Amino acid sequence: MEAMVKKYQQRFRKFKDEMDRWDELQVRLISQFQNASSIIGRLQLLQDPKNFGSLSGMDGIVEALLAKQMESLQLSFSSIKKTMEELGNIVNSMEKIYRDGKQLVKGGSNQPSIKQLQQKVGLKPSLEDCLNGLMLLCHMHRSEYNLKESIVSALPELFWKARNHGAQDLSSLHQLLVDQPNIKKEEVEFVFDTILVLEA
Amino acid sequence: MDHGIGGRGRGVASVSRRFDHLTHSLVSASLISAVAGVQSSLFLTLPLCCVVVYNLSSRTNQSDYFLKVLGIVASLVASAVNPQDLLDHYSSFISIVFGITETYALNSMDTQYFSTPPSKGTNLKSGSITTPGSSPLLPSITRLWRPAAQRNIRNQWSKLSSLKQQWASSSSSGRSHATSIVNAYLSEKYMPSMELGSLCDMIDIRNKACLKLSKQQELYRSKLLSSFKEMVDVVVQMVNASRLMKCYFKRSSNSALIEFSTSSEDNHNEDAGDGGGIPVFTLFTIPCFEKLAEELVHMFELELNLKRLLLMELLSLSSEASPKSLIWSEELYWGEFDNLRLCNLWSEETDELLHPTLKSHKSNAPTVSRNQHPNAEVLQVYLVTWLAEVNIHTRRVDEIFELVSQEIHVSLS
Repeated sequence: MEAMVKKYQQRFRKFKDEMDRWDELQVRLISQFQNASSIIGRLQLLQDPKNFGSLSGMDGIVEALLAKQMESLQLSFSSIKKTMEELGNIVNSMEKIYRDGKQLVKGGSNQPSIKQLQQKVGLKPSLEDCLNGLMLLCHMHRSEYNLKESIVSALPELFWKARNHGAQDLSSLHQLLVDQPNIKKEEVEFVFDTILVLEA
Repeated sequence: MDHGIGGRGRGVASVSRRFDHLTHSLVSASLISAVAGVQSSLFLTLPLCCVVVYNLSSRTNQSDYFLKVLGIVASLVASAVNPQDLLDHYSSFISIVFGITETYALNSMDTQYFSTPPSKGTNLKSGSITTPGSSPLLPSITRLWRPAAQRNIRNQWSKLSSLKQQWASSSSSGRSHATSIVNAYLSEKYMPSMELGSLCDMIDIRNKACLKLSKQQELYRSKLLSSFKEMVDVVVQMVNASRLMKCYFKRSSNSALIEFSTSSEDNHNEDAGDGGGIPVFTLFTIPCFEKLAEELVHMFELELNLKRLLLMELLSLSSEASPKSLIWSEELYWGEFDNLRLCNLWSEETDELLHPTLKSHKSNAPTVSRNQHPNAEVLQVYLVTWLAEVNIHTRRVDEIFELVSQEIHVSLS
């Protein structure tokens, strides 16, 4: 059993790497989202020639500026898409780690009994703890990914309609993206504390 | 696709070389047979020639040239039975054979390079390099010209590339200074109506804050101006680099060394500096490089002028009742107009600084109605305009650098 627990701990360390990578991408996603939403937020301002001050004397400046902004908006949309793809890959590999972990106990020839699963040696976690921990973490990241996906896909929609209260919607979406409500920090820490107890 | 043609061209070239070789041996064989009466060597070479011609005609569409040559060769072999005839027709035979192979060489060059400039064709035909419209350069000099020109083109384009990066950094630091000016200005403007809470009790707090904010604006104004100065310098250097693409032959009177220079001043040979219009690397001639550089630099020139307008707006921001006003036709710093003249931003007709325009738009009359106290929206538009660089078409700029870096085999990024 002890050897099994060691194997699980290894998997958790791998999982931790994936989570670090997730955090990097989260930072990137937020700045990309901010870029896009600030462009969307000021599009209306840029459509009114009255706001151009002494630039309004220049022929075609309004159109040129709008075109340029649309170009950068498109760029940020595509970079957001790319980041989301990478996040999706991370969730997939997290789930693979979990599947492999399940295979460890259920795929082997000598399947451990429920008693063995719950057995604890000293401070070390039981096999059940390990499996449940992995499942919980996977679940959190999968639902967070789904949330992000819906936030991101709401962005172009905000651009097309409801321009008047767009600013407020944008900021609340941004807040949602930052908060990551599905990933509860304390729970994650608790899981890692129980599993990797002797290593810290 | 290019590759395929090049490959086929090389294959054809090697076969045709073999063909040339065989014709040579055939001619010498016929000569020997004429003199010594040994005809067997001739009959040995002829079938070989046939094989090569067949090989060639399957690869190119110029088989008729080779068939012609083969016909002549066959008639030569027949005539070689009579040595006296051969000697009579020998010289005309030689000229026909090699005339045809030369025409072929010209054609094969065309298929190989797709778009060979016309001078290249004439070079091959006449056998010597001639420079159209200028004094002829010797082939040996052209051979030396190429590496010199390549070195120069590489230098100038790497310079342009690093200048582009300098522009980007100056522009972005300028933007952050501009943002600071705007923020300080707006805070100062809103100071009287600001809720200060318990700070209200402090004596003179609002005035002190205003003073501080206006000092900050002063500081950032000078920083913004120096960023602008950097940008002017960058564009001046870009213009210089774009004008130094040519490579002139320089004949120094006291030494036998052949030198090249990028300035036309010590060029007594009066060449055009473009090596007679030959490609510097594989495709682009000097004028091609110049055109791309000009297109690139023009974008930065226009953007510089637009930035100058924004700069004037931001520098004249002030919360004072009667602020000093900046005038478009006055220098912002000493020597500015000399530099802007170098950047093609000076109108020769009216002898004054051009007004900012967009590409493909006409310069229009200046709008004098400057508002000394613009509102927050207008200021935001100014900042966005500074950031957006509407005159610099990012994709086209990337495309130009990509194109050039492929041609000169130097990565420019």
